[in-house]
Amino acid sequence: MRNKSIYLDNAATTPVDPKVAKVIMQYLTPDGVFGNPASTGHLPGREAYAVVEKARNEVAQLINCDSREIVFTSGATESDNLAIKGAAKFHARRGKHIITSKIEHKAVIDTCRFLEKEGFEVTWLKPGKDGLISPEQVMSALHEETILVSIMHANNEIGSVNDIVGIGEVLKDCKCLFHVDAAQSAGKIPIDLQGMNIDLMSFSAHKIYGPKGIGALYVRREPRALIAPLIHGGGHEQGMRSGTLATHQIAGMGAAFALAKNKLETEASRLITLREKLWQGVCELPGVIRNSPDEACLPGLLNVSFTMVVGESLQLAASDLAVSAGSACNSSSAAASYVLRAIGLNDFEASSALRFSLGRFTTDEEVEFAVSCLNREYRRLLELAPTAAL
Amino acid sequence: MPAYSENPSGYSEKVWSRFRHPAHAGQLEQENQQVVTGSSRDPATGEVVQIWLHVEDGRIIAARFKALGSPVTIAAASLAAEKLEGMPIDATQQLSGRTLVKALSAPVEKTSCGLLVEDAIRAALKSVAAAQS
Repeated sequence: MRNKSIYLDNAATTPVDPKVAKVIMQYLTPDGVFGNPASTGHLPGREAYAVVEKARNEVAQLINCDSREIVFTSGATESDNLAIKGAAKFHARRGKHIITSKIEHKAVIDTCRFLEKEGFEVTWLKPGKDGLISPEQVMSALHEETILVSIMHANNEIGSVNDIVGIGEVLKDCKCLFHVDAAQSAGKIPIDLQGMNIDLMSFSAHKIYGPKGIGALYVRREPRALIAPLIHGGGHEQGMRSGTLATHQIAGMGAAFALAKNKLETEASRLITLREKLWQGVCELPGVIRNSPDEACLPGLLNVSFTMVVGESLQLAASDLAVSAGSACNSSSAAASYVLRAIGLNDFEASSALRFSLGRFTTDEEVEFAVSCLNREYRRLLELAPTAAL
Repeated sequence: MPAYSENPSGYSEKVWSRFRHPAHAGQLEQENQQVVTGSSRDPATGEVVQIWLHVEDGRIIAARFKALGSPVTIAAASLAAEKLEGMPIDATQQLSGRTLVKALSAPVEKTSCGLLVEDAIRAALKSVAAAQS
């Protein structure tokens, strides 16, 4: 079935780029390279191994690291789990203190909460109104027992981009590991691991036009970031992640990362132009607040609260636009976004937020349509509201 | 550009159609002494419903509403106004928030939306009672 909506939810997931889909199809069927990459005793296996290593290299090139530092996983959630639980398990004898922030992705938050129950102490740093964690905040939370700092590169709801170079600098003389969840930032803004003091970094393919179900964890070689594996059974991926490698998905991830590298600069500037056009088109509506920072923000992401209506109503009224709302509005609790609450929004502001995430296939015409749709539906809902309530 | 899609809301067709085309939205002129109004507010969600009723000889001859609310609240207010028109005041007790939500085939978790509408109706009817006494 054709998707009729204008898709502005690329931070949730992206479509697979047709060029990437073509690559994936080469590694599935009998006439393709379908062998087990671990079966290097015969040609089909060796061919599959070569495909995996090519993709590993493509992933490494986007972030400027050694391809041997890339461990394939099932996605960023598994990478976050492997980094955090793996570091905690390996270094538990040395200390049991972890530093993270209140606006991490649930994959980090829930993993840290799990470790709290296991006896670890977690410091939850509160971001500023711009959604950023400063290197100074991290430094002041450090103590002798700290074994891990996990801070995201870019936030998935508001797009704020942390100074991970600066945070890495303050951790230089510390024995703890520094993990960064880069699921939202990779392929959208430059990442040069040679210029960063980072030990572990999580990636996902489906956020940058690759397939779902595949991701990677960067594990630094020098100095070696030591973590315990979570999945055992075969010793794949240097013993850090057992399980037969999914050649077609890995090839797709490699192709997606290579495409993203080629397009990075031009695409970022195109998306910033579109994002600002969208903002200019709604910013004069009454009661509108920009939740995404003006600076230090992902190019295609814009989070806006439409505070004079109920967020769920605007989301449904503008249902020709596929966007994310600031709350789980179909649930009975309708809990407002913890990210927006953490940056200081009240419940109503947070629950009236919409996240627009533009992507590679978003056109100028689609942004114009979105602006017109939002203006029309917001005004319609305002007219429906009692004057005394406004 | 896409044409309006069918019902993408996840709610019943009844909720969706009333949300898209809320019959009886608007307000009645309060200069008319036979028009009363009442409102209610949910402090937890910030939703507000206001109902206007034109009452003559113990019967509601017109009802209108305005709502700052979720789709179910808007749909429930629209349905309530429709049902209230022509209803004797004595019969309004049968119109509860729960029956509105049920009639719309809305999720039971959204009962609070119906109750908000019921509260606005009760507030308006209090004015009728006050005028009569």
